Amino acid sequence: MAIDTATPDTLDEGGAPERPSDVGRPEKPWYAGPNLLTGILGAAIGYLVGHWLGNAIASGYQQYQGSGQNDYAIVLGYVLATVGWLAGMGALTYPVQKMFGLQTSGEEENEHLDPTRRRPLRAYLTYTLDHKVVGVQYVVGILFYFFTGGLLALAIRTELLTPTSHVLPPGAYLEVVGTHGTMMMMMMTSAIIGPFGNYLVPLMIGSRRVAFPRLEALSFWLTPAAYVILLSGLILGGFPTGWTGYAPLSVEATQGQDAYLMAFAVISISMIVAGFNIAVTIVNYRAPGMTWTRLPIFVWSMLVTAMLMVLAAPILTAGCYFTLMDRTVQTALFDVNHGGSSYLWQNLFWFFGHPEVYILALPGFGIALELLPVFARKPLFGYRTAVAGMVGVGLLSFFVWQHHLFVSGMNPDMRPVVMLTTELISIPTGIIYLIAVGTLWRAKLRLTVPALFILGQLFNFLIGGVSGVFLSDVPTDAVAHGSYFVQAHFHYTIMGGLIFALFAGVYYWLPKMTGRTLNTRLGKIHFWTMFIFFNSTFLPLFAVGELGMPRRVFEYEQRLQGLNVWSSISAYLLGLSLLIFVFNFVKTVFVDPAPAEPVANPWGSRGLEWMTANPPLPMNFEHVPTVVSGPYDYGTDAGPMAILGPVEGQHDDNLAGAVS
Amino acid sequence: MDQAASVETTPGPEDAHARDRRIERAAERGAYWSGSRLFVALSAMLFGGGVFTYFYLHSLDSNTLWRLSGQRPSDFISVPVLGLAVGAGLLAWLYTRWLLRGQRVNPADWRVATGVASGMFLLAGLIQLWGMTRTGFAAGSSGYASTYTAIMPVFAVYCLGAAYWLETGLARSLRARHVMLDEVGEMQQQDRVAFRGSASGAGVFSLFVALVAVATFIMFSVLH
Repeated sequence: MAIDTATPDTLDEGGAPERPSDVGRPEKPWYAGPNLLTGILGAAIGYLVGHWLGNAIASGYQQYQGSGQNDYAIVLGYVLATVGWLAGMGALTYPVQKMFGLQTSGEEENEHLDPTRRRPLRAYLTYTLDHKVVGVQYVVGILFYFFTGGLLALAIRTELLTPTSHVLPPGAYLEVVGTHGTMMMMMMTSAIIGPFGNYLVPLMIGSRRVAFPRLEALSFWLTPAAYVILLSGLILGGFPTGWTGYAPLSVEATQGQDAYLMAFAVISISMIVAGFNIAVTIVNYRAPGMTWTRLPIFVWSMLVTAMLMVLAAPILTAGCYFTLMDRTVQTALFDVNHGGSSYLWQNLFWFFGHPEVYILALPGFGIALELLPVFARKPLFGYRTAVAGMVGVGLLSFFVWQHHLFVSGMNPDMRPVVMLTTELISIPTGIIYLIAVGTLWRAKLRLTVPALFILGQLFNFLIGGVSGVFLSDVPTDAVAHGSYFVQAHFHYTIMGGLIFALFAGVYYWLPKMTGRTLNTRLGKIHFWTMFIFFNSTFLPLFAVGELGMPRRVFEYEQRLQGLNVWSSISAYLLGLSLLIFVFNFVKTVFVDPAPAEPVANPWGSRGLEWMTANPPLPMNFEHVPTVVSGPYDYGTDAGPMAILGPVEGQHDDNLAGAVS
Repeated sequence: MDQAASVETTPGPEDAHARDRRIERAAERGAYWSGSRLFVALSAMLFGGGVFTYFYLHSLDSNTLWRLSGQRPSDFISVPVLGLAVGAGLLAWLYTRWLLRGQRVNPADWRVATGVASGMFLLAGLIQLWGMTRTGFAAGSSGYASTYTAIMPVFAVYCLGAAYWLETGLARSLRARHVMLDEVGEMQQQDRVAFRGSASGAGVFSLFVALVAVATFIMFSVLH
């Protein structure tokens, strides 16, 4: 498989195209090239062809005849729909051109490199090579996926208002629970690396591009495909396995399970591609002077997260593929009666699944540690230790997955070993946490909206982290496993940690992306309502779990109704608090008139990303900058972090990460 | 923009643009190098899932159905596939290595070797896919049969991927012959960097696919 790169310096110094064929070429109308409509058309055609092909293949198999269930047709339909979608969006043009040794036209590059051209709205709906556009696409996409998952959560809480009266039938309840969990755990893996990693990493390391812009665009445009495939599962009867997809139920379930498996497989590819591009960019495209010890801590968190994605997600791809093989080709990998094992899925899934927890958590910590020095106006406490903590978490995350199998039949002799590794990971995690607290120590903190969200994140993660230590111990895990205690724990770590950090990032970096600042008053109302009702929703669930309520049930004991009603009403109010954000976001970005002068550096950050215009120039920097000091030298005599160009007499012809 | 943005850059604009280009080309070289190695690493994790599955099911031997007696793929398929993949991998890796180091080969030699290696990978992939219809055992008859049926199509796809990657390098060198020259103009440097980076990556990837061929052959045709 070829690795592609764009050629962004196909422009000469004046911004004119190098290739004679591009000169004077009239601009094509939007409908003449690949676009959203051709993408949808390609997906529809692909699905129909795949479905027809699947029916043709399965017509010879007895088990499908008259069963009303043909997994071949569904799976091939999804595969070819995804391929058709990508082809329609123009993602396959370049690989095909390469087969014939053709150069790319340069047109796509020009679109984002010509500084005189204003970016039209449709540029955000295309397969673009501009990392900033991809970042914005991710912002909108991730928020959309998050709110979809949130609506499903409200449906769950509605059902749980009463112990025996029902809004949803039992099957539908399971479908909603499974789709909510999968939507949140699957689609939100790129919640921070997608929007902020893609948009900010090049700016923060002083690069004018990413390493593989086509792969970056591919990573985003796979997510709508996965989203639609996952939701289509509801039409096909849903999947009864929840987000973990345990075998043998996943092999025996109806066609909705195909949607779960295909969506997860597509997202795993998206994760691999996104992580791959970010990791290679950070390693190779750092500006002169941007040494590893000057790298912003957020970029470090992106690097570790990217490596986790690249190395863990392929196992998920393999697991989904194996299950699809069991469901279609009739292999027996998960069938104990024919030489397989259902525990195989648990091992494959959690080998990915536990690093995924840190794929979700580390970027949140990256944002916290990045923002705290800005608002505390003092250097990051223990920068190198924080980096070591992040790398330590990343490494250890590959050695803890079997704690998810504590009560499902693992070798009892292995339990202490896994318990030990699981508890060990709390050490680097704790170090990162203490570094955040150390940065706050004796600081005169400015309580801006992003700072409030970071403080909220630290509070929530403390509860999530401490409750996690209980679950790493075999005796307590044996009691709490599968209960609402676990559910409360991971909502505190993921929503309390990741989503609060996501909002901190949106409030902090939106001025960078748009030149506009979100309304502070509305932002503070959003924070306080979200913080209060988040805790009000999930804190009671620890008690509910301790009192014996298992997860994924839609009937429960009468005595637990009070706590459940409290939690459900809090969940509605939590949803309302998110609407405040939506209102603020839409009003600021789309309704309010553009400010006469875009905001410059509203937080007084030293970060390199704030040294360019807001929003940034098409190529980020006019010249590759030279980094001369660290990003967190607040309250010291250090000058600006970088000089925006070469420095006379300084030999800096190599990027910090260049391979000579 | 804060005060730092107003810091003036001292060298002239021509020098600055030349510096930008030099820096970004160095970065692109590095991106190809580390990108191709990282791609091999993630592919190793993907096959690692398969290898784990093989040994996990082998050790469990559920219902003593790990492997039915005499169950193995035909040597008339697996041996040629092994030979083609290993031969292609070594050919592509060695000739690319020699070309990039300026040793032993001239551009024409490299083109012939790459074309042959690409064809061999293509043939290996196609034979393997055809061989999936000639296994002689049902896909779900045992743990072994299931593992074989699941892993080998992925290996075949990797063979086809290696053929594609090599072919793109060959096509580029034929359409833009300057990419293989030592002395090229400033405007052509970009193509040359991209070609050399892609060729280097393809060589390493080809060697990896050859190693996978050896590993799968040992797992499915040698071990019992």
